[in-house]
Amino acid sequence: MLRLLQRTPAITPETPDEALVGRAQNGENAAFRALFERHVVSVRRFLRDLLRDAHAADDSTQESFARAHAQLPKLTERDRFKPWLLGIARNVAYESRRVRVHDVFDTDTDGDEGDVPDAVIPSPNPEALLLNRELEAHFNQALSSLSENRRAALLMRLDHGLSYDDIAAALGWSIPTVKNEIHRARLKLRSLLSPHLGGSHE
Amino acid sequence: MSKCGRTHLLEAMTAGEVPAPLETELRAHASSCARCRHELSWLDSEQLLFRHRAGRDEVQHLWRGVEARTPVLRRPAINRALVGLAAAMLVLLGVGRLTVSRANGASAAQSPSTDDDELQSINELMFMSSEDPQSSCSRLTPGVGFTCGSPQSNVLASR
Repeated sequence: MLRLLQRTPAITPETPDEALVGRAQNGENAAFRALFERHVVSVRRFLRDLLRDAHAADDSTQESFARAHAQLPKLTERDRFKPWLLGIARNVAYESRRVRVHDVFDTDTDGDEGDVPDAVIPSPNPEALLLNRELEAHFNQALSSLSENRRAALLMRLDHGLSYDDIAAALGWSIPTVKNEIHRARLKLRSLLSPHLGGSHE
Repeated sequence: MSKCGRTHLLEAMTAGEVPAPLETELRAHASSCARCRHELSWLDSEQLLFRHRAGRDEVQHLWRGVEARTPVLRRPAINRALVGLAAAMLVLLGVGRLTVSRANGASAAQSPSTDDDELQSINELMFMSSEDPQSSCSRLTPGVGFTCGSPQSNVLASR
């Protein structure tokens, strides 16, 4: 009875993911809701970048969290919730892509774009980085030109701040593969963006 | 990418993964190394481009879809303490009623009543309605099972 009467600690923005995962694993729905609130923007943006379709991204976001809830008891490394969640999201995106009638993915799947000569990519002009709609469109287009796997790795690193270890775990790759894919993705991105960033050769 | 051999360090620096003293050292180096400066300017630019896109989405409506796919999440959050408290109150209430009814029984035994009105009220309680004695009767044919047409006589006969 005393245990039942124990007060549940309040959930605050400072409550770490690890604690929320533990509480959600014990059946506390509010803890899972807090995890949702904390990560939904990232997951949704990640899926939109992978799927390039707002509706599909919404649907896949919901599916990702539903699967995360179902698989939560299996998560042993509670402090790695975000990479785990993005790994689920990436799988959902992969499945979503497969069922779509028109495959608008992977305009660049052979992986050779990484061989863009470094010397021809000028440095960006900081003033050109004041993001406008046009530059944002170019940026999104450049991202879209990457293969899905490469894009996923790049997004996890640059947009979602995951470590190489976490990306390797989420994607099921080796760390050298992760580094190589991200390196190639970066080169491609830079070569496509440099004309719009008013770059200069140093 | 920088051919200076510090690319991975610069990259880790922009990701906030290197200690402050090393960051100071790397930035100082980059100011004098054209290759590293070039690399750093790109790394910073990439960070900025991604940061600009973040946090603009309206996504709260997606929770309903998650709930729809996860029925257990639709259950209202019930505070365990409240449940425990309610259970304790029910137990106390049950014990209290039992105690009161026993006390009433004891006082009734001390002053028995043979009042017809009291007998009538007991009959009403037993058979729900005194106006239509057949309404709560068994639908079995007369003589089979319990018939309530003349409850008192049945009860008396059983004694």
